Amino acid sequence: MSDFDNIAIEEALKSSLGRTAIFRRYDRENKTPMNFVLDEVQRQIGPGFGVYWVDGGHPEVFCLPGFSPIPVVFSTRYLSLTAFVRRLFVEESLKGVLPDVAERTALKVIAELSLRHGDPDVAVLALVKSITGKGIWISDDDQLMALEHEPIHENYMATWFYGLLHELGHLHPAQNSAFGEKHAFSDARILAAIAASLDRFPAYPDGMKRAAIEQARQSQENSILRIDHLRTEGLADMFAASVLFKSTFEIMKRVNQKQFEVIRYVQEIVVFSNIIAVIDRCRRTAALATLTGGTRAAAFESALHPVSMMVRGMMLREYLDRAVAEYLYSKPTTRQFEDVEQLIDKINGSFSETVDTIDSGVARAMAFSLFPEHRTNGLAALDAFRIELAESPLGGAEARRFCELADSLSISGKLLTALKGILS
Amino acid sequence: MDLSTHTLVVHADEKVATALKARLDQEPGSESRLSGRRNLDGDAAAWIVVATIAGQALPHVLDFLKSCLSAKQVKKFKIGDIEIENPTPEDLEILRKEIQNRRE
Repeated sequence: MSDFDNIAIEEALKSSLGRTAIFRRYDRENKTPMNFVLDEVQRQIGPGFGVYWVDGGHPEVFCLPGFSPIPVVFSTRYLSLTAFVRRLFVEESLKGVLPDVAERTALKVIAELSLRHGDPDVAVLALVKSITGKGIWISDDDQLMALEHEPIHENYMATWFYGLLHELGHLHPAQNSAFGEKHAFSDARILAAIAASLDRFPAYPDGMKRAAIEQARQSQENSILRIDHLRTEGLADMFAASVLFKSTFEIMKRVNQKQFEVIRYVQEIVVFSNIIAVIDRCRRTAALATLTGGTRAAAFESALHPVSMMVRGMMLREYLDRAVAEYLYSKPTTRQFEDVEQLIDKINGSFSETVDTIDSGVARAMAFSLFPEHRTNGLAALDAFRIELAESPLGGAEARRFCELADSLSISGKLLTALKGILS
Repeated sequence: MDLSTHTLVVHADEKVATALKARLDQEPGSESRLSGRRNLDGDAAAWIVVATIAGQALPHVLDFLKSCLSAKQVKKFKIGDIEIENPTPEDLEILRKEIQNRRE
């Protein structure tokens, strides 16, 4: 790495992560689960990347592929957030309150991400909405210590590494390959998957679906449904799932705390692809929402996000069916393949009600953030929060942490000032 | 003669970032890198340029950037310890004069 490359990466990360984030290049010498996983990544894609461990700042995982070696950011805040959102998908005790908890969680994530991507006043409104009248408090604070002490099994590996592995998947040589017409990643198959996914959204008008298909075909469009974009993401998803499969199986064998269970692995992949979808929807909402309302194009793009995640889910499913069948049967017969498909259908089905409930909560949070007609006047919302504050010390503490985050990012705004006034 | 060098970081959309990189490449002695920022959903709407440039070239680069400021195409601009979010042409003009004053 030249001196300039070194400086350029440092400057790019400093500028992208915000002033309060602390980052360092991850030491590849220590024997850690992360290095175990990264060794496998390096075997597959070569040494041209560097993982940067980031404490504080925004909850985001990203890479900057124009630099050399390519910096890939591993954010501990993102890790804590995904561990928190995972609880919504897996904790039985939350079932009865899931619609409310999911909406409030999405509002909180939108609030935090709006500080970086969007309008600080919308951030305040989303935060206040997320805590006013809140009855159940689940901590979304730093979970790092607790996560480090979890036993090393399927959940641990997916929580820590799925997002990171997805980013590293963008660096895989297959990203530059051409795919034959029958391949799952060919233009024709992806377009067919887009059309099939759009059909599963009966509420979307036909004109909108036609426009979405047209945008998908245009390589110069910036649509989330663009074919080459979906191919890139699908390949990265598949890379993440495959490295996770191999490294989880091997590390569990080595540490011998518990035997690898392929069903648990599939459950985690299903859960994590949904977690990523939730956080990404929140991020896109944060980028689009303003105090006065979003543009039509922004709302259109936002509506296509679940379609894009469904297409990616279809591509990932092809990999999962094959990988699980080969793991269980080595050279599976057609009947054995069908059994595996049924097994994975069943796992997907076991999450469908939870996923739908969480999706509705996220959709309500998105509507609140994107469309001013879905919310009360900002000062009225703050007043309601103020009245409740005397009897809600947890709400006050959460709002104070949010204001501290805004201060650390040097973010100001009319409603932010008003919120600080209430808290002082 | 101005022998200083400056480190420049610009966050912009793809079109402006690519044009800026091409402009920087014309400056003798400058080094620059261009990268999209790829998030988990693959959205590479944000692009970043990092460069070191000679003090003499800086006013030309600032003039070039000023011409790209319409429609919020430049999200963040940083040179040395000065950072501006959503810079306006006026911001860059003030910065240009400030740098010129320092040189004199």
